[in-house]
Amino acid sequence: MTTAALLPTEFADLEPWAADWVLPTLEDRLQRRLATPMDELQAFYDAVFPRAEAAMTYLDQFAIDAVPETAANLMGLLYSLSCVSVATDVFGSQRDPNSGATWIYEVSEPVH
Amino acid sequence: MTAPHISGLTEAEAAGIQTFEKPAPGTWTEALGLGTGPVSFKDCYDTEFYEDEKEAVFRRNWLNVGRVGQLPRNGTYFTKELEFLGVSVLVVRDMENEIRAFHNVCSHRGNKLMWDDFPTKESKGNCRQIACKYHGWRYDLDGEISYVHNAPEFFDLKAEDLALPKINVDVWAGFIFINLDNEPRQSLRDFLTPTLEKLETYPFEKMPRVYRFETVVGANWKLFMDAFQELYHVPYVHGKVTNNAIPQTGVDKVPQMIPYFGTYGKHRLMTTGGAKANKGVRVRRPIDALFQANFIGTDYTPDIGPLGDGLNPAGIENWGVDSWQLYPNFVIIAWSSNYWYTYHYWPLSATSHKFEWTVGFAEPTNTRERLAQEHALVMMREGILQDANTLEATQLGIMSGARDDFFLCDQEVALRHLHDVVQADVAASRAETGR
Repeated sequence: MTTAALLPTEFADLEPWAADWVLPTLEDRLQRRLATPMDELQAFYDAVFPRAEAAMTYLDQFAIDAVPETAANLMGLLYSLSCVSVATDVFGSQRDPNSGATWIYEVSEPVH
Repeated sequence: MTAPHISGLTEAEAAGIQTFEKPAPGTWTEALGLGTGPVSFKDCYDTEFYEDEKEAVFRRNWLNVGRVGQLPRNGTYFTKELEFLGVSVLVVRDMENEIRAFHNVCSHRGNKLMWDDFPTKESKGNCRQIACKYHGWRYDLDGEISYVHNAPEFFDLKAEDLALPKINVDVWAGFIFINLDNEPRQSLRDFLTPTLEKLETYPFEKMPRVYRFETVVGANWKLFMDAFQELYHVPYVHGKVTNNAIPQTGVDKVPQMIPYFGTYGKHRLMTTGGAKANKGVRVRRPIDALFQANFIGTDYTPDIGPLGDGLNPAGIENWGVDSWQLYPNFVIIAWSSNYWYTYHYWPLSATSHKFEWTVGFAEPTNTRERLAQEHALVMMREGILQDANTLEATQLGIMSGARDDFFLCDQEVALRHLHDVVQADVAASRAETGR
């Protein structure tokens, strides 16, 4: 049985990441980052970052209010790339090493 | 201690760091009429002070409790729980389009009127009347009683005695303010002063894409305000997010100097270069270059038309950010790449508070702009988490009794002003009540 592709066919190579990393909100993406081992975050970053410029160019063809579902999923993967980069590029850990006692919850964001 | 702005840097590293002229007599602190001596932070843990501060500061000054956008139509309402004062505020837009505020308490047996599921949680919605869940009393949206169930069983009920207790309310720049005093000592606009009043020309409504964040911090509310009214901390707290080229220590040696401080009544302004500060000594991360954004915002600046005549009152060249510190606990930050923040700091106890952070962006016009906003948000949130990180440690330190006073530099002048104003309000209130 095959499941329908989440991403545009041009980005089939990123399909293995889509199920876990296309997430609805900023908060969901952060929670996923915090719950994912560093080696997996690095693997995600190493897979998606080199394809990011091509993905952004692909997305350029769509008006912001008319992004088809597979393209929106691709965009979601780029949102996660941004989130994951904090762990891979900045802290070398899932979260700021001094933030043990601290958190900032997102309580609402725009619906689109 | 000579040339402290370059201490620790080589001449080459120091080249390009921005410094700014200070007003006569040569320091901001003296120019603004503030003391230069060490300060006590007893006002951030002393429980007696905290009790008086609630009365003197939070019951006598105008407090921002929301924005008009939270009341989009006649009959919409929201509640604001000021737990530390024991006050639940009900804010409604009545059928005549007027915004009103009441104590959210039924005149019959004192039941809290508007709440959903949990009485301690804030609620919102729309209604034609304000109805009590307990015995069905109802009030019109102007607070007047409209229905008492089985009224003949009562004794001498008079409608004029039953109206909901009003709370003073006014609106400025789309922000809804309340004042819990019986008679406010100043109108909202007098309180704001002419300089802040002008900020209502800033087009907040052109940046309607709003994200909200919250946290509870184990520190007095003023300590988090203090963290955001200086940039002296930036190289140490934010080294890793501001400059990726720095060594593994996470410390960025480049100081951020503030070009302008101003005080306006009880309020303060800090104008800075923001993303334009020290631009010559920055190295970008590849991901920031990809998304064209970083922890101080998007690289692109949306066209939102005129920005009004309230920003940058000092006319600072290369203006980047205005951080308006509205007394007591409300901050509006306007960024040159056309987005805004607000911060609110609501005390929970002498040594804890709830922090609310709101970000408003313009609607993105293409997918790259939306991606830039996302990346800016991700990085800003990490930055604000870093700011929150140190607060509990500071709270523990200042109340440890290790010493009585602490040392502030000229870049921390705004802290002195806040603490001075709070202490003056408490002193005035104590004098009035004979304490």
